[in-house]
Amino acid sequence: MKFLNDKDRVGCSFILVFALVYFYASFDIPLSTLPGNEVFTARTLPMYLSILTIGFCLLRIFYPERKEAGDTIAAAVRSFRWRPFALLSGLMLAYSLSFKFLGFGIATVLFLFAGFYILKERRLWLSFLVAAGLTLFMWLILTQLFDIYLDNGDLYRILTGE
Amino acid sequence: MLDGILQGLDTAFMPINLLLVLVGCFAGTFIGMLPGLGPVSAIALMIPITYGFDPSSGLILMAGVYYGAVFGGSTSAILINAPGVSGAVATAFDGYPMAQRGEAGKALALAAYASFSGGTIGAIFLFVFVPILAKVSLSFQSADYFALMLFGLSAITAFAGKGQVMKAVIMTLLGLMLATVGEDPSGIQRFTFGITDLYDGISFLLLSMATFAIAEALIVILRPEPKQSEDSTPNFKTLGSMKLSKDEIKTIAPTVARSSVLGFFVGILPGAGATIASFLAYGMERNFASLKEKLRFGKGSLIGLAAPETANNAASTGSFVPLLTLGIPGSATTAVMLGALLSYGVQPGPRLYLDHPDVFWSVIISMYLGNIILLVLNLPLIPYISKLLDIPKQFLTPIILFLSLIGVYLVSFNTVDLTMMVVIGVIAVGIRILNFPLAPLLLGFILGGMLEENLRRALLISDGSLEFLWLRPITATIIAVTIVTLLMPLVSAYRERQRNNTTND
Repeated sequence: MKFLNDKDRVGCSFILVFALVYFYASFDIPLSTLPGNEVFTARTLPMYLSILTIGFCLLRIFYPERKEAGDTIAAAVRSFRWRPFALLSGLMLAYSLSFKFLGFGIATVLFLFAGFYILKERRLWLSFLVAAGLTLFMWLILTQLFDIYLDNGDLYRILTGE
Repeated sequence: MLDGILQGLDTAFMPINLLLVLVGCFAGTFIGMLPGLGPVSAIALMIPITYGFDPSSGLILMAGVYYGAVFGGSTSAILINAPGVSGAVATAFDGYPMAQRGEAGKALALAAYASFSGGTIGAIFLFVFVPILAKVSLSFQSADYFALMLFGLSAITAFAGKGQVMKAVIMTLLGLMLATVGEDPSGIQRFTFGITDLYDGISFLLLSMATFAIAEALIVILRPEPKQSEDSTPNFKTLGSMKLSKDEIKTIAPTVARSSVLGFFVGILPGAGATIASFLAYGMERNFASLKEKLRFGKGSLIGLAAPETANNAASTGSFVPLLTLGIPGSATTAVMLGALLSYGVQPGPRLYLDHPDVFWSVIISMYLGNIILLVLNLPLIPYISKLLDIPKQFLTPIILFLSLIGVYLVSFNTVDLTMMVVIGVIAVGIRILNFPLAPLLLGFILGGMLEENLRRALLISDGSLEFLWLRPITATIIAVTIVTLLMPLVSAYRERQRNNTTND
C-alpha cells in the first residue's frame, strides 16, 4: 500500500510532526527557581511525552499493521461531499469571527439561514422564520429565564450610539 | 452514612430538584435522539445553564440529561436504525428489525424496562460499593493516584479494539500533551506562545464539543445521503402494542440480571463504558442462548435487545463509581461532570462523601429517580417525542452546530474559543477519517493535569526516586494490573499471528 494512501502512516506522520514541534518548544519552558523543584520541572512531563509519542509514531510508520486491501484513505473519502463540508466549516469560522461585531442576534440568524441554504433548503421564507424564531427563542431563554448576558455587538452600539 | 442518605433524600425530593430531573430526562431524550448529539454534548450544553444553581441541583439536572440521552439514543436506534449514541449501536441490531416487523412499541417498551432494570441493579450496587470504595480511597496517596490514572489510561487503550491499540496509545499521549498547554501547577507558562487566551489552557468543554458534537455533525454532512428504500423508511404511525407478555418477561429476566452485573462492573473500569458493556452483554447472551434463539439474534430477538440495553444503562451507573470515589472520570460523560463539579467548587473524590453528603447522595438518588421518570413518563410520550426525528436534516445540522458553538461560548464568553473549536472540529474530522480513536485523546486530556500533579508530588516525596512505584503494596498492585492490561492486547495479537502462521503452514 502506498504511504500516502495508508491511514495509519499518514495519521502517525502528522502526529509525529506535532510531537517534534512540541518537543522543540518544550526547551523554551522556563525552569522553576524554587528549591526542591529540580526533581520535577515544568519541562519533565512534556519532554517524556514527546519522546514517547515520537517513538510510537516511528514504530507505527516503519512497522505498519497488516490491513485489508480496501482500507485506504482513497476508499474512505471516495464518495464524500466536500463542498457542503467546506462551506459549513467556513460558515462556522465566519460566525466565530463576526460574533463580536454583529452580536448574538444578527450573527445567529445569518449563520442559521446560510447553514440551511448550504444544505439545499430553498424555501427562503421558511428558512428565515426558523432561523429568526430559534434565535429569538434562545435569546429569551438565555437572557430572560437564566439571566445570562448576551452581547448585542459593536454594530448595535454603533447604530444606537450607546 | 444514614444521615447522609437522609440529607440526600431531602435534597433529591425538593420540588425544584424533582422538576430538574423531569426537565433533564425530557431534554436528554430529545438531544440523545439527534444524530451527533450524545450524552457528552447534552451535558455540556447544560453547563452554562446550571451555573446559577447549587451543586446538587446542577448535578441532578445533568444526571437526568445523561439518562435521558442514553434512552433517546436507543429510541432512534430502534425507530430509524440510527443510534444517537455509540452505546446504543448494539440496541439497533435487534431493536430495528423488531420495529420493521411492526413491533416498534414492544421494542421501545422492552428497551425502557431493560434500561430501568439495569439502572435499578446498578443503583443498588452504587449504594453498596461507593461508600466502601470511598472509605478505602481515603488512604490513597499521590503515588496510588498516579498509578490509578495510568491504569485508567491503559484500560482505554486495551479496550480500543483489534489493530487500534497502538493508535489509542498515541492518541492518549496526544491528549496528555494538549493538557500541558497553559499554566503548569507551579505557575509557569507552557506552550502559550504569548497568546493570552491560552494561559488557562485549552478548555475541556471546547475540546469535547469540537471532537464529538462538531466533528460528528460535519461527518454526517460529508457522508453521501443514504438512498431511501421502502423497507428502511421509518413508520412511527404504527408503533404497535407496548405490552410484554408474561412469557416474554420470563425469557428476558435472566438476561437482564446477568447483563446488569456485567454492565455495572464494565462501567466501573475507566475507559470501557457503555459501548463496550453493551457489546459484551450482547455477545455473552448470544453464547448463552439456545441454538434456536441464537438464529433469532440480529433478526429481532428479545434477548438480543434486552442484553445491550440493560448493560449500557448499568454501565452508565457504574461509570459514576470512579468519579464519586476517586475523582477520576471513567468516561467522557463523567469527565464533563467532573468539570462541572470543579466549576461549582466541589472536588469529587473520597472527601466528597464526607464533606458534601447532600451532593453525593442526592446525585445517586436522583439518578434512580431519572430511571423511574424515563419509564413512567417518557415511554408513553415516545410516539410524540419521536416526531423530532422527522425534522429535515438541512434544518437539524446547522441547529446542532449552532447549539454546540453557543454552548462553549456561554461558558467562556470568548469568541476565540469559537474559532479554536471550529479548527479543532475540522482536525477531528480528519482524525476520524484516518480511523484514529478520539476517546483516548479526551481521557488523556482530562487526566493529564491530575496525572502530572500526582507524579510531581510522588517524586518530590521520594526525592526523585522511582521507588514510589513499588514501595506501597497498593501502588505496586495497580502498576502490575496496568502492565498486564497494556500487554494483554499485544499478547493476544501475537498469539493470533502465531495461530495464523500455523494454519498457513
